[in-house]
Parts: sequence; structure tokens; C-alpha cells
Amino acid sequence: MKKTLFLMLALAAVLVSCDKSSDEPQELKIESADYCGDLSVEASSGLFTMDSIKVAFNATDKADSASVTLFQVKFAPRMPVSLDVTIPEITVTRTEKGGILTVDSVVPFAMGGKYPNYTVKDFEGEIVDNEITFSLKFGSTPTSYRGLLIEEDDKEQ
Amino acid sequence: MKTFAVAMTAMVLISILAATMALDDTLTQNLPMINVTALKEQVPTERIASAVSSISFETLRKNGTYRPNSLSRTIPGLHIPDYGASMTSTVYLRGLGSRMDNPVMGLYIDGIPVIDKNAYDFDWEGLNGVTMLGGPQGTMYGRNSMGGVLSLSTISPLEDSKPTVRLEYGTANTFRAGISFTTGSHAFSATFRHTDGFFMNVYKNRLTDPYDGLSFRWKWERHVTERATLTNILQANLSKEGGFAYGLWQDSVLHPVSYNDEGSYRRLSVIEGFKLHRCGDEFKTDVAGSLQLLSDDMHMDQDYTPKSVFTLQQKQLSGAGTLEFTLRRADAYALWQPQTGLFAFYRLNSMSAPVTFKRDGIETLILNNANSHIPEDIGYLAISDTRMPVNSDFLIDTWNTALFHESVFDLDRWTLTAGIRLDYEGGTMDYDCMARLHYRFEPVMTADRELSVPYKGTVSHRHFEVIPKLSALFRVNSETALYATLSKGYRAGGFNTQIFSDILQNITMNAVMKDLGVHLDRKFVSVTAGNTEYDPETAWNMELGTRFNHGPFRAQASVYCMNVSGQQLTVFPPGMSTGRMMTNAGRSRSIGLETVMSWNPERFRSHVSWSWCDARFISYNDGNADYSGNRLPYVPEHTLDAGIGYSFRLGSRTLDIDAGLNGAGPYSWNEAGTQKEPFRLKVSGRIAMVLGDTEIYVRGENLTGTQERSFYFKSVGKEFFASGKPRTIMTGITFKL
Repeated sequence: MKKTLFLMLALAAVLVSCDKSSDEPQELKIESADYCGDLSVEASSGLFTMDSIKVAFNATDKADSASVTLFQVKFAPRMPVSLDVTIPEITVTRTEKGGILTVDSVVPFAMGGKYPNYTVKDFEGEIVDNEITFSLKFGSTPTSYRGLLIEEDDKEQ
Repeated sequence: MKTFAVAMTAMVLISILAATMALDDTLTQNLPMINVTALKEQVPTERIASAVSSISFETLRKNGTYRPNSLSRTIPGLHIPDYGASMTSTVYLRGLGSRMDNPVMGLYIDGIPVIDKNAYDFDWEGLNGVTMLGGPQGTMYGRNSMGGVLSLSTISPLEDSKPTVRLEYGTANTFRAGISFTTGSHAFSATFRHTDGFFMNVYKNRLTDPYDGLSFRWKWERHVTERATLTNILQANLSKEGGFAYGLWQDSVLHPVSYNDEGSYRRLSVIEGFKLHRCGDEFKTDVAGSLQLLSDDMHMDQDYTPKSVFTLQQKQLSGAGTLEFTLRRADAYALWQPQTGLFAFYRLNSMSAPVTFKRDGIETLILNNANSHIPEDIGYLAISDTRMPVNSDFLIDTWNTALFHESVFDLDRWTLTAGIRLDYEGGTMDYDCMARLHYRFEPVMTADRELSVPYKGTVSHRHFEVIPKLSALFRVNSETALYATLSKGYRAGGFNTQIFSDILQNITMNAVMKDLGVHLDRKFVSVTAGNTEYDPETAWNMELGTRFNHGPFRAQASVYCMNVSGQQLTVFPPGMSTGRMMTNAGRSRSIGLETVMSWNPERFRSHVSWSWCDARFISYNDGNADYSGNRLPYVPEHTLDAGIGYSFRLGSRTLDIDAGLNGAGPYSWNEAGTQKEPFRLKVSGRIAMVLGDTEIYVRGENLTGTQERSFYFKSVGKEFFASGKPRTIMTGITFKL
């Protein structure tokens, strides 16, 4: 009797599980978050990498589009200033593991307005678990980024 | 050092000569009393172991000395360059002094301390005379008396004093009127002065330094009982003036004054003081208190050019209260004469000091500086405002409390003095600053963005000082005395308010960049509010001196060595900074000699006041350069005042003819010693006809038209000088009714 009861419970659990997977696809929620990681820029003088670059991913309410802001980035190693650059109108396609980020061409915001000198092209990236990666061209400068989610505890620190 | 040795030798020789010349070596305990009512010392000035200079009001009047600044050089070592406006009475004494904030000389009017340096320069009338105690007087007088104390004694209704009227007119349409009289328990004095000014602003085509000022004093004094005297003194000064006659120094040429913005100063200063003196059987008690008000408003073109670069307004409303209680032994001939006192004061100063950057200033000082950091291919910053105000409001309170004691032992030929003061001072500054602008980053931004940058906070300081004093005076005979003194003085610390426009300027630029999302590798750096507090300056003084009085001949000489710690000096931050700040520059030492001689037999009169001072940094590195060993700026190596005169009797009339020389220098204008002023002499003269109680005179100052530079500063990398007054001729009449 005990064995029968255990089998029934196990079957019920399997049925419940199947029922859930059939109604809601297994997609992670795409939320606004901050990341910290390395930015690689293929400048005319060669490849250079900046570490500890903060990126803010800001999703819309529907999470079908987003903007990405890169903080304090340089596009040449000898550039005497670093800039905060926001890439708007990124299309977000949700996947089972996170989301795919794409933009063909968009003018970023920097220094208080649109900055066409660094028009973003071929933006491709994804968010998987707690990691964001993307590559793009700032004007003609190929750039890539890989960063990890900044946990709330880290932010407080 | 060689000169110091010569000076020492000279002083010793004077002493020996004086002792040899003495005709009567019988000691006289009761030396002639000079009016010392305005001094705290228990003994007559002859027995004070410090350099003492006393000048009667009659002498001051004849010399045309009608305000404290005019005493410069007349008292050996005292240098108060005449520049700017009435608020800029910067005092240099014995290598001490700085352009801003706390003075190195205490000023007392009938024993009431003048708390605010901005009220130091005023026209006087109805004085008995002035007395200067040289060297640190911190034990008795406390803060800001490390170079000396200037004490003014005014006419009293308890003394005989003829009503006097004075009228004077001369160069630059200068008119001066004064009146003083006593009636019953009251003494009144008032003086008015007008001048059109001496220096033309060629850009505005008008004189830049006109002056109108009125001073008034009412003194009520009465013996309220057989043993008690009550005094009330109300003094008010009201003035409205131009000023800041600064010309550009370029290619070794001093250009005329030429600037476009307002330069003016208005001031109302009121001091209400009271004193109660009671002489009991055992003790004398003195209570002195005051309430002081200062309201002033200064406008300054800070670039001093015809361009609209930037201006400063500094408006203050300051109130202060002082109270002092002293207890001393009633028997003035007792062997031991102790004096113990308590002093306290509180001052609250509300100050508004907005700096307004105008169009040229926004372009040259702000945008050029900011855009030099930004690569051209990225863009450039633009500010559309024609005026960019940087408002700075301060509320500064300062308090001080002190307990002091001095014991004087009169032992036959010796007068020994030991004293100590425990002085605790503190202050707090609340600052509330705001910069506001409309900016645009070209070509990216299509519209202006408004940005407000607030900067608020509080800084405070506390300092405790122990100020001891030891002195010994030996009376060789009735005419000669020698003394030695070891004393300490201090100048209070404070807050740099002038540097806040610089701080705000840098904070604003950083805020603009942050707002834009542009991060400079090299930030706009300046000091912060936390760096604006500076510490007290302290000085130890070792002094040897002698006095000699023989008939109409009087001589006094002293040599001193002062060691100064935490010397307060004005520093201009490097680069295109617009502000200036006080800093404790390190250590310095001053050695010097001061001497006064006068010989006044019958109708002939002569005097010489001369000082020599070698003041050098022991250690001072401002971060850019090491100035150790260099002379301290603004401190003259020599001051000289000499004069001769003769009174001719013409029947019932007297003809007075006097001639004088007055000079100071050489001195450095900056720490590096790259700008120097040579020793310059000015010639003065006076001819007066005295008919009974009426005197008619003509007086000339700087008769040779010596061109002297009286002040130097840098603004936005440019050098400026103020010139000394040109030749002036005054004619006047004095009635004694």
C-alpha cells in the first residue's frame, strides 16, 4: 500500500511538472541591471583593454527593447578623457537562458546629446545567467565587452 | 648677521654713553608719569620693558597724521602701506604681517580693543596721543598683539581741554574739518574728510579713489563715587570711498590704473564701550566691555583690466562683544604688584562674497581652461551666460576666553616682570555656496542645460595657547635704563573665505563634466573647504633695550630676535587661479634694531626714528618652490622718519618751520624675491604762523614727488602695483577757543 501511494505521488509530480512546462516557456526574466567587466577596443594603434568598466543595462517594461550605457570608456589609449556612452533602441529577444541583444545601426548618446561620430553598427550580444557579452562597432572601431552582474551587496560596498 | 652685530654694538654703546653722560645717578623712583590710561600695564611707560613710542596729538596733527595708517614709519618698524581702501590696512611689524585676515598689531581705543581689522583705519580727532608697545604683548593683550599694541588715548571731560576747531584744504580737493570739546561730563569730537582722489582711472576717465568719511566720538566720564570712575565711549565711523588704484606692471613699466568695473568701499563702524574703575583699599578693579558693529560693502574689479573678466563683492555685517575684568593691587609703590584678569569676546560675522564671472572671464578663466582638457575632435564646452555668479555666503563665529596674570616686582633698581596668559580660542564657519550656469557641449547638444552646483558645510577650529612673559628692567641711574624681555605672542587662526570662488569654479567644472558624462584624466583640482582653516601664528621674542633721557635729549634703542612658527602668509594658488589663500607658511625669524632719538632744546626740535629688520624664512616650501633663506615679502629692511624744526619768535607771533624725511625699504614683493622695491625717501615740510590760540599753516608731503610703489599682487597671472600718494600740499587753520 505504501509502495502504491509513493508511485501515485511520483506520477502526480511528473504530471504537474509537465503541465507547467507546457504552459510557460522556460525564459529568464530580462531585468535592468549593472555589470562590471572588460572592454576591448581595436583602435588604430592596436588592441587595448580596459578592465572594471561598468555597464548599465536598462530594459523597457515589456523587456523587448533596452539601452546599454557604458561608463568611462575610451576609444583610444591616449584619449585624455573617458566618456559615458548610451546605446539606445537595442532589440531584446528572449531565450531560454536569457536574451539576445541586437541593433543594426543606431546613433548613441554621449556628452549630452546624440553623437553620430560614434554611430553604433552591428551590435550583437546576449545576456546569459549573470553575464552580458556584446560586440559592436563604434564608428569604425570594433569593440567588445564581457561583464558579470553586480550583485546588490557589491553595489552597496 | 653682520648688521645685527653692528646694531647690537651700537645699542650697547648708546647705553654706555648714556650712563657716562648721566649727571645725576641718584635713582628716582617716581619717574615722570606719561598718560598711560589706555594701557594695561601697571607701571609708567618708563618702566615697561618693551620698546615704547608715545606721540602727542599735537605732534600727530602737525605731521598730518590723522589716522592709524599715517603712523607708518613714524614709529620705528611700523609699516602700513597705504593702498586699496580703508579696509586694507595691512600692518607689518618686526617681520610679521600678512595681507589678509588677522592683524599682527592690537589696536585699543581708551583700553577697548578694536576687534575687526576692517575698522582699524579711520580718521581721528580729539586724541591725547598714541602709544605703541613694540614686540609681542600677548600676555596682557592676547590675540593679534604679537607685533605690538597701538593704544589711542582720547580727551577726557575730567581733564582740561580747550575746544578746538581745525580746517584744512589742499591737493586733490582734499578738505578736512575737525572739532573737539568737553562740557560737563562729556567729551565730543568729530572729523570729516573729503578728497576727490589722487589716481585717475584712464579707462573710466575719472578718479578712482575719492573719499568721504565722518568720524564721531562721544565720551562720558564721571567719578560716580569717591573711589569709582565710570566711562562710556561711543565711537562711530562712516565712510564711502573708491579705491583699489592698481595699475598693470608689464615689461618693467607701471601702467596707469585702467579697469572697467566698480571699485568702492562703504563702511559703518560703531564701537560702544564702557569702563568701570574702582580703587579700593587693597585692590583696584577694572571692568571694561564693548559692543562693536561693523557693516561694510566692498566692490572690486578683480582683474583690474578694461575687460569684463570677474568682479567681487564682499558684504559683511559683524557684531562683537568684549568683556574684561582685571584686579590689581591698589598700592602702586608696593614691592609686589600683581595683576590678574579675565577676558572674553564673541564675534559673529555674516559675510556674503559673490564672485561674478563676466563674459571675458567665462571665456578666458573658465572655458579656455575647461576646453584645454577636451580633445578638439570630441567637441567643446560653451556657456551662454553673460554673467556667471558664484555666490558664497558665510556665517563665521569666533570666540576667545583668556585668563592672565602679571606680577611686577619693584626691587630698588630692578623692575622684574613675570606673566602668563592661558588663551583658548575657537571658531566655526558655515559656508553656503552656489554656482549656477547654462552650458552646452558643442556640437553634440542642441540646447542649453541649466546646472546648479551647491556647496555647503561647516568647518571649525579650536586652539589653546599659553603665552608667558619674563622681563627685567635695570635703572642704571635716573636717566638710563636697560631692559631684557622674553615674550610670546600669537596671531589667531581663521578661515580662508577668499579661496571659495576658486573651489566653486573647480567644483562647477567637474560637475559640468560629470553631467555630460565626460571624465577628465586630469580633474579640475583645488583645495576643499576642509583645507581653508589655518592655524595661529606664534612668535617668541628676545629683546634687549635701553632708554636714556637727559634734558631735552631722549633716546631709546632695542634689538630683538623673533622666532615665528606657522607664519601666516598669503599664497596665490598656481595656474589661472582667481582666489588667494592664507597658509601657515612654515617658520621664519626676524632680527632687528629699532631706535628713536629726539633732541628738543627750547625752540629747536629734531627726531630720528629708524629701524632695521632682517626677516627671513627658515623653512618654507609652497609646493612649487623652496623659499628657505629668502626675505619675507612686504617687510621693509629699513624704516626711517627724521625731522628738524625751529620756532622763530616774531613779537607775539611764532613762526614754525619744520622739515622731514620719511622712507622705507628695500623689500621684496614676493616670496621668491623677484620683485623688489628699493629704499625710497619722501620729503615733507611745514610752515606755520601761530597767533595766540590760532595757527595757520601750509604742509607738504612727498615734496620731491618720489614715485613709490606701495603694494603688489598678482591676479590671473598678471602683476599689479599700487602707487604711493603723489606730492600733496595742504593749508589749514586751527583755532583753540
